[in-house]
Amino acid sequence: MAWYIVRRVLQGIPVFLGSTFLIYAMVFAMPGNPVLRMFGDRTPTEAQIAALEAKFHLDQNFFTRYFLYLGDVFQGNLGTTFNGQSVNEILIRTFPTTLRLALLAVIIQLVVGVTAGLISGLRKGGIFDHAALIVTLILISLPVFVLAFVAQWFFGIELGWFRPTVGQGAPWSDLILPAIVLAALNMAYVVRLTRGSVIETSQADFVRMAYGKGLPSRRVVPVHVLRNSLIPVTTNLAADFGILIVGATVTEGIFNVPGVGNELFKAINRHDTPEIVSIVTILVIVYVFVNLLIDLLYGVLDPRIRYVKK
Amino acid sequence: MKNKRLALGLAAGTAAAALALAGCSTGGTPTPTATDSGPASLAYPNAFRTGWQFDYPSQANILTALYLTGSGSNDALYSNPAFDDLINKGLTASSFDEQTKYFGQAQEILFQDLPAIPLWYSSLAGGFSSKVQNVQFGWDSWPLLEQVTKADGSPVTAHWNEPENPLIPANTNEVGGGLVLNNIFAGLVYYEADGSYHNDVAESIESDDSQHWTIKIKSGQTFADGSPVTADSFVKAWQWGASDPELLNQWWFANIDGYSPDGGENTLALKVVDDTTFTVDLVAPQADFPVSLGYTVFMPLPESFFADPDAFGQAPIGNGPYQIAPDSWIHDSRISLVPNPSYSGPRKPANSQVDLVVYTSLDAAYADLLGDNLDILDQVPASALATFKKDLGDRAVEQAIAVFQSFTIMEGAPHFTGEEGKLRRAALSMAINRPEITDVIFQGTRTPAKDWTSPVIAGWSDSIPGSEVLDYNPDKAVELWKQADAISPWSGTFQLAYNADGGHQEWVDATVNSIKNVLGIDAAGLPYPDFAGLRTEVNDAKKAVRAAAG
Repeated sequence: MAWYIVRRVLQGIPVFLGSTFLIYAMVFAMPGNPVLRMFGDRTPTEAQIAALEAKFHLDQNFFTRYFLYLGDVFQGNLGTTFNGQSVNEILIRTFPTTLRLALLAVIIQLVVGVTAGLISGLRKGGIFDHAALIVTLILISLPVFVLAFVAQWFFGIELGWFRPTVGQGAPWSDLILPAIVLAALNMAYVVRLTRGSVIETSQADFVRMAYGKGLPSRRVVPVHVLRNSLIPVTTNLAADFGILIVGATVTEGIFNVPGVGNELFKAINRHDTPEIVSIVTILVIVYVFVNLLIDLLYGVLDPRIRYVKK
Repeated sequence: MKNKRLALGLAAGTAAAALALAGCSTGGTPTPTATDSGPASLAYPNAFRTGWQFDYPSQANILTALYLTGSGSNDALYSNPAFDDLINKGLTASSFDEQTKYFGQAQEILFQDLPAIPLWYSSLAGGFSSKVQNVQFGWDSWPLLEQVTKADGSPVTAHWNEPENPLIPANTNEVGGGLVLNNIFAGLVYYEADGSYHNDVAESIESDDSQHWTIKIKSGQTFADGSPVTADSFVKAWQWGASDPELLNQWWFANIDGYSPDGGENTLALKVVDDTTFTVDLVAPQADFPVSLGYTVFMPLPESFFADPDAFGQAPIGNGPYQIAPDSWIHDSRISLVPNPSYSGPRKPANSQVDLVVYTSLDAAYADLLGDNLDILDQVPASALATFKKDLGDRAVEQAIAVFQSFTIMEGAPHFTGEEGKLRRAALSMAINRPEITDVIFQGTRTPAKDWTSPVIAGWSDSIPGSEVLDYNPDKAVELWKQADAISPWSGTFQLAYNADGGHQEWVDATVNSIKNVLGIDAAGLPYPDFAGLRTEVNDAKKAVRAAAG
């Protein structure tokens, strides 16, 4: 087990180097000179362009720039943006907000989605099952920004239950509405996945045997049915957690969440190489780490899965 | 001849010139992907969008910057000695009326040559919450924060953009940083909402020949840290601003004698006479020089700035109506401005605090405005343009601001030179149905252009001879286009380049469709992924043409 974790963490090193290199190369290939963007419709003098290119190392070749960046990274400095902000500080400021938002969304998915899926699966063909089918169908077919605008207008402005946008410091209470919107789409999949999985597990031999032994369903359902049904759901949730951390840009924009997705969007607009590369690389590492956690969780949910040194 | 120049540029190996040549011969709508290494099939556009937001309220600001021979932002590479002559006459004119007369005549020439095709003026579409009173927006689209009052006494909140650069006058050229600097600094002059200007720190700004200026400032003024505002505060600030080409506004000092594009210490011809007087020698006469002095780049700086400019950029100290509340600047989130007790000028704040709030999107800001969580919004999102007047009632604001939109056709673009070019440019202009596009696409937040400046800038006129070329006239357009075809037949596609990240696609499509329907030629928008990409292309093409011209 320990060996497995060490090996997985060591695998993270080439992933880190590879992703920084690839992303750096991609940003380098972006057309357009960021220096000219700084001047809007005004045209700077040649001397200004040259001076600014030198200041941000834009006049260096690709490898020089890449190794300058890597050198900084190994000293714990993820770079400086064009407006003089440290990327470390930007990440420290924005990442916790995104993480909290993603966590809240996953909890909502887990609680609401698994409960609804479980009830649907146990009472297959009932009214609740049919209702859940229709609701999830609607959620899956709605684009996220439509849902976000409608929720913001209805719950935020018309009913006034929530603040329409996230206020200073992004308190948990302000994050609930965006989290529900973020959770909605994948929650629909969780419901359906759980339902299918529960139906399948309910017909398994070990469940029939549990009932045959005379165990009450309040013991059979959580311990035998649900636990065994959760493996595909866990994979799905983990993948979604990764997606939520990386790509909540649209929702973050609508609800004014000062998170990573939004910062990344602005950085890409500015062609701010160190910021883009650092943020994306951190996201890749988080994604790798979350996947490791999920793999370990499998072993907990299903003792048949073991990680041993071969 | 112009075509030959481009051919020379190609021989010199510049990619952009190759693209320029390909512009008319390739059909379809190629999408550019890379600028320096792109294959030859990529087409450099015939025309590209240009917007101009006035830096200071004077017609000369746009006319000299965009169309004067050799001016840095002259993207058309336009050069007409008769135009230059009239502009210079205007800049040395002894009265405002005389200046306006010359600038009007200069614009007549522009209407004949059409280095760019004027499209429309922008309006501000904004609003304010039910909690605030006395909200007014200026000619420059900034709210006049100092006038706003709030009944419940809580801080006034206004929409803001995170500054893209440290807050130093010589290094701030965008709206986010500009709004803060404009409120924490007081310049020699300040602007009223209508674009008129009055002395602020200055006692008098005088010159006999519009070239050698003597500036006297009011005595006894101080910065927020208590240090005095003297002639030296201005002179040292300007010298510093011109000293280093890394500074984004360094080119602003080019009209002062001694300026060098490469910078250098104390290069400008500025002289301190005494504590409250200094003189400025300009390269050439400029009658509107005092107007320009309200722009943030000309603000004074306290002694503490020069000790550590970097630290100053994070916590600037000014002499204006407001000061930044200590440690209140949370990046990408907000900043708080509180009245500066040492300010004694005409812009005295009527409120006790203004919080400038960064929003991740205009949609979010608009939602907060509707919920009364935000007091002042200077721009409603595109999604709300059709409904904001209904949503906000008498709290909706729509007013003209000093922004001029056009598309530029570079000198030397194939088929756009000489007599043929004049005919084609006029035909294109008359083929665009401006009233319909401004109505349908912009919901009336743009007004069809009537001249080359802006209706909020003094001297504007909607009846300059030649401005008929801006009227929609399909028959005349077809006729002129045919005359041009008689000189040299048109082939290929007319392409209008724009940056796809700025919400321009709708009007570009409408404009090229209007051209296509009237003239019966292929016309298409040419999207560049982002603003940097478009500007790089324009700049490369300018360089190539200049290099070819020697």
